[in-house]
Amino acid sequence: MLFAVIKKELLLVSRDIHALLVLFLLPIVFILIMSLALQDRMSGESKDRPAVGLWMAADNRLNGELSQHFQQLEGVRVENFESPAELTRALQQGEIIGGVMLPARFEKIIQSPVTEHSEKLRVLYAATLPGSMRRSILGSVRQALGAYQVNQLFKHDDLSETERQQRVDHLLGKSLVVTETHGAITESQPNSVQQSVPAWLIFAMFFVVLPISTTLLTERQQGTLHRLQTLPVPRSYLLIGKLIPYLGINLIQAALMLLVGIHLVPLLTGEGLQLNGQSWLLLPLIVATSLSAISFALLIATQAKTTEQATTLGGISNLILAAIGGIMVPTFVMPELMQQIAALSPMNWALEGFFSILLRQGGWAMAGPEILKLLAFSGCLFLLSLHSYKGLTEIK
Amino acid sequence: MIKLQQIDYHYPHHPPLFEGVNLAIAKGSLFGLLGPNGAGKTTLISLMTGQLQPAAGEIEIDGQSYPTQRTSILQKLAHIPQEYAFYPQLSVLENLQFFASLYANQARNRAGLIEQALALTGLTEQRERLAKHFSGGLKRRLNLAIGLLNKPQLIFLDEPTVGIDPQSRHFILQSIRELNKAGSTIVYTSHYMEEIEQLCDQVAIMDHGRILVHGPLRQILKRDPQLIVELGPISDQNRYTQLGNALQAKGFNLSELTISGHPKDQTEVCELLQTLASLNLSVINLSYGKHTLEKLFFELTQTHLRD
Repeated sequence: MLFAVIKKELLLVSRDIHALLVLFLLPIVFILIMSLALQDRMSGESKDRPAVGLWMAADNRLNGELSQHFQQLEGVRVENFESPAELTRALQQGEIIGGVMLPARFEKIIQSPVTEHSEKLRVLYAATLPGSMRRSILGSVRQALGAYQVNQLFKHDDLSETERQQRVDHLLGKSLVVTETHGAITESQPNSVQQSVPAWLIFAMFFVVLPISTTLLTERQQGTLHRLQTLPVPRSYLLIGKLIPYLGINLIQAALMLLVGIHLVPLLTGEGLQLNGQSWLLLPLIVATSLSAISFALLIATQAKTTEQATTLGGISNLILAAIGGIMVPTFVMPELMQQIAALSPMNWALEGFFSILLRQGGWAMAGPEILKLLAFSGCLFLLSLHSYKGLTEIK
Repeated sequence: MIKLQQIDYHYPHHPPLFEGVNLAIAKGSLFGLLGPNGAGKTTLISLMTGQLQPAAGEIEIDGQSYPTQRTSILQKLAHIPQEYAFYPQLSVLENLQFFASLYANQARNRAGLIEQALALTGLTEQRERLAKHFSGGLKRRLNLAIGLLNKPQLIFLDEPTVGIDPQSRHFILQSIRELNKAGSTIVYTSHYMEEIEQLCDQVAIMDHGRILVHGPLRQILKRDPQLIVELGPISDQNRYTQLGNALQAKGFNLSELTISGHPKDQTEVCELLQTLASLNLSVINLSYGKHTLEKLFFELTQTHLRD
């Protein structure tokens, strides 16, 4: 009997092309788009750094060395221009965010103690460039000049290139600086793939609200539910019969999205999702997430009066849970208050569970609390929806 | 077969709909349940099919009662609602397989029952088609076929011929007759009086939650026969007044030039005709005897519009 109910639900959803698109195609598209879109922002190392133009009035030794120092600058990419006019045009058209113009006699100017010169190194900015970026470019120019001048101090010494570079780095303070990352392992930030794949998988799993509510409300509106009332079948079977097939659908979604993350995303971004020794925990996490999504959908379907009401309510609820839960905007870029609000969303519990397993490589101790929260949430909502469902079909 | 005794029922926050309703439907009968909208027909069927529970009284189906023997009762009855209560996205066969599988007691004979239902409703050739592509007549037949999957001894049919062409209606009525001949008791509701007259051997007319009349159709139509006499023009006002007084004394009504009433026997009809002759009044038309179901229905439930 239960098998028949499950088979019926699977047949219904398999013939609902809109539901299939929302459940399977939409998350794949989102994963690919968002992995590409966030690739640079979340990688920490930009492959497409902003360009700064460089024009040198004369191709002398100083300018050549300065140019080399500019090329080694971090955070910007230097493009050489043949004339000031070309550099200005590129700046106006937004091809570069700033420019540096080196005058012809700059070597003499830089060595002269006189501060007043008619010719100076000019730094240009795009009109819309924020102050922080302007300061960054100016800092980069000063850094290049500093590196050149420190290099000049050792140019007459009988030193190898490596030794000279070590001394220059020492004077510039590079060898005195050590970088460290502090904080617990839980504060690790995901890269674009680690964020996008689980985020849009969770989002898609919660969209079972559409086929579930459509089926249940159609049963109510067409009188099928009343017919089912006159059949000798327990009401709980009918609701459990809806839960099991959608759990299967969610598991297929998860397998498909993980495969997309592992095999398809690297073809586009060069970086794929990597599983680790704790990945077995993904199964209980996905099951718990699925039960939460289905119970949430059942509650909406049993509360709504019409299909339109259910799909609107379900869609908006999902968007809000996703917006606050770190699905659309990663929580680590949110202010503290928003991060606290994010922790209220079951989508965030699921996402944190994924991060605990895939990113922090934590075991049950780290992912377990999120799984238990999801199970408790789904248990409460399923009982509420069972109560509502019995209310719809009860003998009055 | 079906016995309702002293049934009380009211919907939450509504005045009582049924108070002390009694009804008996004999085994093997084809029972027509009539009433205007809001009369309580659907509620009565919902009570008999176990979807609603009475506040007081007892409903007995074939010797078993709700709620204690509900599952056992539901195994042997079928409710075929007015709505197309199936899944349009599924094929005929998929719908039948799903609903058939909900009857645990028919597990062994499931395939055979599906074939029988398909044959009886003429859907064998359509078994692979999706129900959403069906015409109204085919949908009605599928609705009926689903109701036959447990080989029901008792079938409740709620307006099964609404919105279909005469051919489909004829086919469905013929199928219902065959089911009844095969031994199923059928409770049939419809607003089509001629259908009930053609089909049913027992009827009940209800309104405002009360059963106004019920019993064998022939007896009901014969009982309390109505006399209607249409008179020719009366030019003399005195004679019209005399006629009015005479009719009042005999218990007849006079409305313009039409006399109506329920004479006890044929003698009273003859006496009335003698009175008319004595007043030298001409008769254009006279009807006396058996009711039509429609006339009886309007007489009992009046003609004013319902919500």
